[in-house]
Amino acid sequence: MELFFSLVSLAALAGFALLLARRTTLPAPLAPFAALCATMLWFAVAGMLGVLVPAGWVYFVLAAGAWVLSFAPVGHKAPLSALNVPGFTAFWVLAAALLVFFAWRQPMFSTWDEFSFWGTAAKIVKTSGNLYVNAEIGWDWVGSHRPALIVLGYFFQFFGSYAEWRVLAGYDILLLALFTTLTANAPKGAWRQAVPALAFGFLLPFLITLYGNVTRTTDLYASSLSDIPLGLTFGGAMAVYYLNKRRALWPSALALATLCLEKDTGFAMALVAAGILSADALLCALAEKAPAPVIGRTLAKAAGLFLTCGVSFLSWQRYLSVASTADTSNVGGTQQMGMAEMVITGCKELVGIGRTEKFSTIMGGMVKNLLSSTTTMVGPFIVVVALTVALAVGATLFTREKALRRQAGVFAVLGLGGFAAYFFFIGLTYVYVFRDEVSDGLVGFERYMYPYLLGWLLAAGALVLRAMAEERPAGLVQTGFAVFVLGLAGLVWLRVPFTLTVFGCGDAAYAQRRETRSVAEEVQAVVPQDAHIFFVSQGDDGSQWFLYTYEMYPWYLDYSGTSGMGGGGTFALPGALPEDTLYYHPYTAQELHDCILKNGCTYIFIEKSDDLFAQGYASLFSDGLAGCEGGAAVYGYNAGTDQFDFVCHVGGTA
Amino acid sequence: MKEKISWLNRHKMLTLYLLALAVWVLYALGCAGWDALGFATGRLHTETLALADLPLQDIVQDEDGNWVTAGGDPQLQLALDQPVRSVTFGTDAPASGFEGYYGKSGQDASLRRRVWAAETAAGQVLLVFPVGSGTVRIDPAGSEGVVLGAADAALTVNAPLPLWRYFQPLGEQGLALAVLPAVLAALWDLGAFWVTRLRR
Repeated sequence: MELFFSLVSLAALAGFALLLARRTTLPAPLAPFAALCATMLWFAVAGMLGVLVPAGWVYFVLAAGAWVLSFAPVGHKAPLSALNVPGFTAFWVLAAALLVFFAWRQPMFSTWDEFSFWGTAAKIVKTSGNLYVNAEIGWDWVGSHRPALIVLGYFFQFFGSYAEWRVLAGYDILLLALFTTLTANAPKGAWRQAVPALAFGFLLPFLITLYGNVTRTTDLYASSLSDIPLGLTFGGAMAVYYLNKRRALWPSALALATLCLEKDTGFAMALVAAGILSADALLCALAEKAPAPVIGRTLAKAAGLFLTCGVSFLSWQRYLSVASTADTSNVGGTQQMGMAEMVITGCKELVGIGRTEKFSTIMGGMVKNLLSSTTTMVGPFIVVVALTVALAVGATLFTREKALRRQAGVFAVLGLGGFAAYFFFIGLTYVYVFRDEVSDGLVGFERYMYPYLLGWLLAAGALVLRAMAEERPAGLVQTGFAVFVLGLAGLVWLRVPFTLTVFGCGDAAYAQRRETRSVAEEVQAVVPQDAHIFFVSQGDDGSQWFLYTYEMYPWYLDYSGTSGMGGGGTFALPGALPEDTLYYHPYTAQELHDCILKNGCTYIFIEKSDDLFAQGYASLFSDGLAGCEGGAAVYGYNAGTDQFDFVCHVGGTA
Repeated sequence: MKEKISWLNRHKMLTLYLLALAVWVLYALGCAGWDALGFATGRLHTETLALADLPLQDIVQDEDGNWVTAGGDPQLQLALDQPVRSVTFGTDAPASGFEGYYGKSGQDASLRRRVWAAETAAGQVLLVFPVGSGTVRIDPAGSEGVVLGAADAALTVNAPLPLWRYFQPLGEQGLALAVLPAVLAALWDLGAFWVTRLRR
C-alpha cells in the first residue's frame, strides 16, 4: 500500500511538471526538477508556518487541478509532442521503477548522521505532522539543519505510514530529476545524447564521493544525508539555465531557494551560482547589444536571484528565532563567532594580519589534500577541477554557437573563483568552528568539498550537452561525450562490485538494522509511550544511543549521561576509568539514581551491560542486575522499594 | 518490411528492451531445460550433505552438539563431483545472513561472483547459483555465536527448482537487463547518426 501512496505523490508531482511543460516555455525535461523544487519549497514554507498537513492536502488538490489545466482545451499550451522527448519520458519511467524497486528492496538508513538528524527528523515530521525543531527528543537540534530535504521525504509519504525506503526514494527521485535536466537538448529519439547524459549524472556520485571512503558503496543512492543532493542541486540550478535556450532565470531561482533550505552551506553555494548566472545573463545582454530596458530587466532578474537566496536563507533563521531557542546568530564551535566575524577574521589572516599557526597549518593541509590525496575515483580534487574546466573548454571549442563559447568561458573562470571562495570558507570552518581533534586531521574534508565539485561538474556536463546542438564538426561532441561516459562507466564497473551497491546488495546489508528495530519494538511493547527511558549501552560512543533514539521515537530516550559528553557512553564509578576517557560518565550509585529520576525516567533500557556497570550500580536494581546476564533488558522504577525491577529481556536473549 | 524496420528504428529503446526481455525468457527456459537434461542424464543429482562431512571454517559444534559460528568469517566449502545449481538448508539462523560465492575449480571467492539467499519457507534457506558453478562457498552469517543447526544438520544440493526461479535474475544479470538495452539503444542511434552523416 505504501508503494501505491508513493506513486500517488509521484502522480501529483507529474501534474505540476505537466503544467509547467505545457503552459510555460520551460522545456519538458526541466519541468520535473522545477516542480520538485517548488514542491520542496511549498512544504518547507508550510512547515515553517505550522500548517504542514493542511498544506499537503492543498498541494494534492492543486495537483489534481494541474492535471486538468495541463490538458484543458483553453489557452495556449505546448503540443503533446513537446512531452515526447527522451528525458521527460525517462524520468517518469525511472522514478516509478525506483519506487517499485525500493518498495521491494526496503533500503534503510545506516550512518551516524542519519540517526542524529536526517533520518530522525524525517520520522519526526511524518509522525508528528510538524517540523522537527520543537520535537521532544533527547538533544537540541542545531540551527544549521534545514528542512527542504526532510520535507521531500515527507512529500513522498504524505499518504500512508512512515517507511525509510520512501524517504530514500524521495531523495533519489530528486537526483533523477536533476539528471533529467541534462537531457533537455536531446531531440525526440536522440538516445545517443539522452542515455550518456543520464548516465553521466548517475555516475557522478560514484566517481566523486566513494573513493575517499566518504560514502559506503551500499549507501550511495540509499542515503538521507544532504551532501549529494546539495551538490547536485547547486549544479542543477546552473544546468536549467544553460540548457534552456530562452535563458530563463526563474527555474534557477527556484533551485537556489531550495538549495538554501537544504543545508547551511547551501547558501554559500547558492551565492556562487547566483553570481555565475547573473554575470552570464548580463554579459549575454551586453554582447547582444540589448536595449537599455532589457539590460535593466536583466539586472533586476539578477538581483532577484540574490534576493531569493537571501530570503530563503533568512526565512529559516527567522523561523528558528521565533519557533526555537537555538542561537542562529553564530556558527557555534570553538570560537563562538558570527558568520561575518568568521569571514572577516579569516580574510585578515589570509593577508597576514594576525595569522595564527593553526590557520597556516589547516590551510596548508587543505591545499595539500586538494593536490595530492586520492579523494575521488579519478584522482585528487584538483583532477576533478581540471576535468570540469576541460569540459567547459571543450564546450567552447567544439560549438558554433558564439553565446555558448562566451558562457562556457564565464562559467569556467567564475566557477574557479567560486571554488576558491568555497574552499577558503570550508577552511575557515576548520580553523574557527571545529574542535581541534576534527580540524587537526581535516576530518570530513572530502565530504565538505565534494558537493561543490559534484554540482560544478554537473553544470559543466550541461554545457557540453548544449554544445551538441551546434557542434563542430558535426557528431564530434556527441561521440566524444558518449565515449567519455562509457569510460567513466567502465571505471565505476571496475572499482565497485555491483553486489556492494544498493541495487545489487542482499538483505545482509540491513540485517543488523532489522535486529535493532526488533529490539526497539520489544521495548516499546512493555514501556508506555509517555514514559521517559534511560539508556545504558556500555562502551557506546553515542552511535547506539542515536540509533535507538531513532528506532524508538516517539518514545523518549533520555540524554542518559553527563551534559557535554553526548548521549550514551560508559557509566562507571568515579575513578574506575581515567578521567579523560571519552564518553565516560563517572557517577556514584546514588548520583546515577538521582540523575535517572531527576530526568523523569521511570524505565531503564540496558542495551549492553558490563562488569563496570554491574560493580557500580547493581544495588539500584532489585535483582542485582541478574536480568542483564542474558543480554539486553528493560527495568521499571518501583517507587515502593526505590529500586528498578526487572521487566523483561529484549532481543531474543534470556 | 521496410515499414517494420522503420518502426523499429523509431522505437529503438522499446525494441531493445522487448528484445532483452525475449532473450531473458529464452535464457531462463534454456537454463531450466539444461538442468532438466542434467537431471535426466545424471550430470546433476540431488544429494544431502551433513555439515560434519564438509570442510568448515569458523564453524564448530558447541557442548550440545549444535553447529555454531565461532569466528568472524564462517564458511562452508562445497567442491562436489557435479555442478552446484542450488543449496537448500534448514536452519533457524536468519536467511539474510547467508551469502554464496561461486566459481570454477580453483577460483578464489570474489564479490563479483556472489549470490544472496532467500527464505523459501520458515526455517528454509535457498541459494541459487548460475549455470557453471563448480565450487561453491557459503557464508552463513557475518558474526560469531549464530546457531546454524543441530548436530545432524545437513545441506541439500541441487534440489529441483520451481520454473519461476529461473526467471529471477541473479546478481549482475539484473543490472545487465536494466542497463544494456539503453546502452545498445544509444550505440545504435549513434551508429545510425554516423551512417547518415557519412552517406551525405
